[in-house]
Amino acid sequence: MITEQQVKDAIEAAGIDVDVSAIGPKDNLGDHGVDSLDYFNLFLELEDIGGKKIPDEDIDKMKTIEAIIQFYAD
Amino acid sequence: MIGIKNVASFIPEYALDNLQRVEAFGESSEFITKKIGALKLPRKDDTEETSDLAVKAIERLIEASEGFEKSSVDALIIVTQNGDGEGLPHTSAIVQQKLGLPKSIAAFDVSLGCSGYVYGLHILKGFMESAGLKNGILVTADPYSKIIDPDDKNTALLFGDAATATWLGNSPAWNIGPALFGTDGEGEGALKTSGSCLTMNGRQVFDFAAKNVAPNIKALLEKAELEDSQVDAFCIHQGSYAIVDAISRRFKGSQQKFIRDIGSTGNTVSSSIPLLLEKHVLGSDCKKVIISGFGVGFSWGTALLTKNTN
Repeated sequence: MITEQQVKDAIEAAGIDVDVSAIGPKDNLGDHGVDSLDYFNLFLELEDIGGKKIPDEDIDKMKTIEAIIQFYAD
Repeated sequence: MIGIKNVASFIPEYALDNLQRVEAFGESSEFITKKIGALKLPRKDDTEETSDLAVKAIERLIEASEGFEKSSVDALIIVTQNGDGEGLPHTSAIVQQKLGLPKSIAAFDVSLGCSGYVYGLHILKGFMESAGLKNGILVTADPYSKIIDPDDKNTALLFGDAATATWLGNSPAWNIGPALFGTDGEGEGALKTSGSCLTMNGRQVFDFAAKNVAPNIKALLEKAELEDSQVDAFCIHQGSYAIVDAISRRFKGSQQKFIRDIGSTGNTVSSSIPLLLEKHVLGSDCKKVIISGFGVGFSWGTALLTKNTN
């Protein structure tokens, strides 16, 4: 299980150039400028925090902070 | 002791303009300038073969190296996985003939991708020292334009054609080693040719590089009894800006010493490290440089180069 703040910390740790304070839990991360290579970095950080890898087939579902939290809650 | 005496390169003049092409792939120009880094992708002429690129790089090396004659070359290695024709005979034999190199030369190809320069340096150094040879040339020439699907977003914006030639001999400018190498065949599906085209699982390649290369560099530093603060430059394979950045982030305090230079070349496979050496290291004030190549296989190698002050 991970928190909204942990996802935001992961976004910053991944070196993604966005204002995390402006991202709401249901916002599409792409709308804030997160691109496909940013996601690769973010998924690596999340894997360290959450202890499991997001499978390739689930990548397209991880468009919001809420979806990421849900993935790690399951 | 055998080491690096000089490096030269050949980059084809014609190049694709990534900023003009990026929209067709559904990405922004910022994606190119900030994440990929490659503004131009040089392309060899359709009539040119891998051996032609190699010949041009060697000719430039000889021209730029005082006292180095074709007649004195006694070993030639070409690092390529996209050699002439269908790969048989080996491209190095074709280059021997095209350049008129001595028939007494030892010439062979090495089948490696982005790790190939680090491997090639050690293969050639060891070969020359064990056989008592004096002048060797290590060529990298792997024109991926031969295998790129121009409609494949994963690869079409990344790879550029180039060739380099490195002169190895006694009384070198740079000493080679120590080094560490690695292989993980579980990555065989991440970068491969399928039919006649390259396919790439970008996430798998990115994960491999981000997770494995920094620890490999740190292990090499420990082996060499060095701190990263004592290294003047890190010349790692230029897969993309994003990959270089993901690795350099693991070196707080030394991040700015990781050279990023892919703008006019793209990812040139095994040529990316010698291109950095030619442009940023030879003739610089650097004394200790880390080189690290990683990619298809997966395969990786990291080495220390030390300026010869004798």
